Amino acid sequence: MKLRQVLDATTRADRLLFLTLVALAVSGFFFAAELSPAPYSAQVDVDGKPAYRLPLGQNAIVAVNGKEGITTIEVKVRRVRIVDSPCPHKLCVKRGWISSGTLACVPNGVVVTIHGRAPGEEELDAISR
Amino acid sequence: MRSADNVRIAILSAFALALHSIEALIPSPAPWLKLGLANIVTLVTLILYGLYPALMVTFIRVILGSLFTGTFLGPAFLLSFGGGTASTLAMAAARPLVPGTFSAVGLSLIGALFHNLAQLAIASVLFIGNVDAVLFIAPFVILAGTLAGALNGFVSELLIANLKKSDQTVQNVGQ
Repeated sequence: MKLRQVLDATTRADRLLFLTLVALAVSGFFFAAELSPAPYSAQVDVDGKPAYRLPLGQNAIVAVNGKEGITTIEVKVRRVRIVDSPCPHKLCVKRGWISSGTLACVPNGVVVTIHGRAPGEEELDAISR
Repeated sequence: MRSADNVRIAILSAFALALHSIEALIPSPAPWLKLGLANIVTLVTLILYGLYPALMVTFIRVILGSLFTGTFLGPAFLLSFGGGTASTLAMAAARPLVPGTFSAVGLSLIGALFHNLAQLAIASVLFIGNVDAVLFIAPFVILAGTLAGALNGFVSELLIANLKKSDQTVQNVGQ
């Protein structure tokens, strides 16, 4: 009853403003999707199971225990390489640095996949308040 | 006249502080998601008594509220202060444009919008320094603010209607 009266008391400008703001915000979602914080990290799988997630913005050297032994993975300036791995041909080491795609040391069961966008594109890491 | 104004400001600030504090207890899924219930008091003050009392109520609420919650002069305080001031000024500016253009609901929507815009601006300058981050979150903030603003507007409208009615009753009794 009371609520009904309040609804009636809203002016045309009120409703127009409300709809405009909602439309503005909703259309903003499409732009926001473009700016969306893509996960920009290297995922390390061992034997098919995720073992680590390394943020690419942070330089690190990680030793991963695989099937045959320890694979050493290095993250530096948004690129990833396998430094050393206990495999016979060292194909994974020879691939060198990558900034997108996948590195794999099949004998050791270690797979490094980069998630996110191409390098050079800015991305969000956090929104704090 | 002046002291009556001050008493009014004190009482209204107390209401605003109570709402502010109650709201701090309500769990929120995101830190920027708030109902902004205290804005009901600001808006009602603005409509019934004008800009000066509304600004005073906002300042008192933000300063004392931050003292109570321990955020005085911290980042949350700056956001709260900037948002509250911008919102009050925007609502006051929109009110006399063409009288009757906006009801309390429309003014509340404007207040919510400017509250959020001011906070996003302050956040981008002071804390994030990343325009992308602010642009990314802006649509979510504005949508949430519009919904909360509409809700607060309805409550304000109801409150003003009831306050006016009870004022009349008191006057009738007096006669």
